[in-house]
Amino acid sequence: MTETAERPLRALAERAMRHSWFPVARSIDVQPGPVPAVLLGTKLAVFRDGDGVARVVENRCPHRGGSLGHGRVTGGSIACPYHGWRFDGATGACDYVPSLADQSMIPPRAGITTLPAVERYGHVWTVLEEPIRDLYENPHWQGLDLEWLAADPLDSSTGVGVAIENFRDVAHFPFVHEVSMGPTPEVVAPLEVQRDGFDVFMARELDAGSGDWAEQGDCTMYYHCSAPGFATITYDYAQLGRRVVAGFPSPVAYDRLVIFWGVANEVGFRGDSLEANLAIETEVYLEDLPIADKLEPREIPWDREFQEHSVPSDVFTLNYRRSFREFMDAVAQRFPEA
Amino acid sequence: MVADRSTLLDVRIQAMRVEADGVLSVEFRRPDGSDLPEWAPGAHVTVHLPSGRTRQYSLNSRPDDRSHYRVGVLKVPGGQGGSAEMHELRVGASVQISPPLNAFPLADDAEALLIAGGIGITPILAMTRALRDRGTPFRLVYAGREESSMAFLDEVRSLAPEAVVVTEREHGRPDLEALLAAHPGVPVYACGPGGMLDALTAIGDRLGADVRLERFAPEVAVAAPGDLLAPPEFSVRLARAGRVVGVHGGESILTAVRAAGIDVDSSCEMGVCGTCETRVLAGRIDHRDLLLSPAERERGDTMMVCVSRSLDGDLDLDL
Repeated sequence: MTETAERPLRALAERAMRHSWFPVARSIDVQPGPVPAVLLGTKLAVFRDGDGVARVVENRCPHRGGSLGHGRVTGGSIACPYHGWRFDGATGACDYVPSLADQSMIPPRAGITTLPAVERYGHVWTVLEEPIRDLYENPHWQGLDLEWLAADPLDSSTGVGVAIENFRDVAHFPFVHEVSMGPTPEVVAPLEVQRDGFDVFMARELDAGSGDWAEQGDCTMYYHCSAPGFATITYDYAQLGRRVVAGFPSPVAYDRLVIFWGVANEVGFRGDSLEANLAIETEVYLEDLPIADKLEPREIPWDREFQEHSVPSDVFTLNYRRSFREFMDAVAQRFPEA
Repeated sequence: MVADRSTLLDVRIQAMRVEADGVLSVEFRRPDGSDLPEWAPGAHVTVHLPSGRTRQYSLNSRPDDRSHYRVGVLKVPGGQGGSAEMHELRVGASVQISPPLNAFPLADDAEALLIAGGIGITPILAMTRALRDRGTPFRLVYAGREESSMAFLDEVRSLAPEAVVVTEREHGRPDLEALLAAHPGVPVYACGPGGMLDALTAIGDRLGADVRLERFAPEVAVAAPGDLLAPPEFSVRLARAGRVVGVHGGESILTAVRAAGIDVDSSCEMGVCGTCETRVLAGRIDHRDLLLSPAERERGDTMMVCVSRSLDGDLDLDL
């Protein structure tokens, strides 16, 4: 408690994220599931009901505390693995207690909390409290028909902000990605960054290096990130069309993540297959994790509890931090603390 | 660059022309039509836009016709807004420009190899004209994504009919290594995207070639030593400290406030990091940082005191 009392912005950052959308499962893992998930300490179960609709519910069975995420799906309901109690995915009401001869005897208030569930970008997203913002959209994708492939989620002992900053940082390429990208220049050409509310944009020409990552040739890379937890790169190849890599770190706790992420190709993309692009991006990401996992502190030092110095190559990061602050301020204003 | 306002030139936009997709040429002329300062190929001017943004552009008109300057402006998608603001200006608009500076001079070489990538043609065009007029043998390679995006192509072709135009769409990227290897001992003048210039630098190092580059530099403000005996350019009133501090032409608000014994947190001191962000209670701000968004600039209630200044008159700060 003292930690958050002395660090008001850290506390606000965590509180604000409860009002924003995060993925809690890959779509392909809820066919129909269920799978357990944790978002900012809240245990959840994710599944797909008999009509194909994704559902996110509280994980704890209110009978004797069974983990619904380890149960099974029955039509529109999720059944507890312990005594088989079933709960309706839409309303949360208990609709079947196997041990009862007379189902009209179900305790009337037995039920679980249901959360909003939206399927987008190959993942199931939810939000813990009333959302301050809509689920992320990328203006670069307007009118673009994207086919998604969700990557294997990665565990990381950092916070959302640090993961987003790593995802779109460019100055670390020659040090962390020498294998996947080949030698890249150390000097970072001026970054042209544009920020609008929670969104930050940057366009950069990719001069193909010699690594696997660049073997599809030169392109324009459109970076977009949106506070708190959305980072994407849209690669626009003059000859091949557009492809995407996107990261959606999801906070299990304030400074511990499951990094959900994926790739997408424009329908008709003439470059590599989704699987090949995912393999390349995985090679890149696996180079980042051992570095990111050892960063100190593990999340952005909002309360200046650590000193950091910045140079012009950090302009995207610094703009993202401002957009995150704007997001925090919006939550503080609209949902004042009780 | 901290502008010494007295040396800025008042000019008017005399003409604008679409040169290619996303590229405009802009001609500046003095309101009274008198000659502008002398310049040589490779020179650029800093344009001070009405919003307070500054942008540098290479001159590509004829140095012997000083009735006007011409620059080429590429609209940068996702940029900080400087190029977009230039594109929104209209003929007749008044702006201020710095006198020409030349960080990319054309030497008196016996022979030269010119390489332009995209909007990097602007200084190279002026060099092409100069070399042709001097009768110096030269070779010009102009690379771009596709012809429709390549500015000044007609002028390039009429000045240098033997120029090699390489489009990525038809020919892919030019083979820079082969190009430099085919011209041993010939100085190279190049301007273009950072990636191309990085590649040229590496190839030049490898082959021992003399590669001279113009990079489009970030708009980073740097304080120049000022004349502290002169009267201050403006003053800042520090609301919490109850002090008034004069800020001279060559010093930042940060420096002046610190010299007065009031500490302000800072880190980069070039308008990037936001550490010295200070609330502004009154006054009009000349924003020169790289971090604030257009909306935040417009609100006018916060500034980076390491680089930003007063637009006119004094500022009241929450210090």
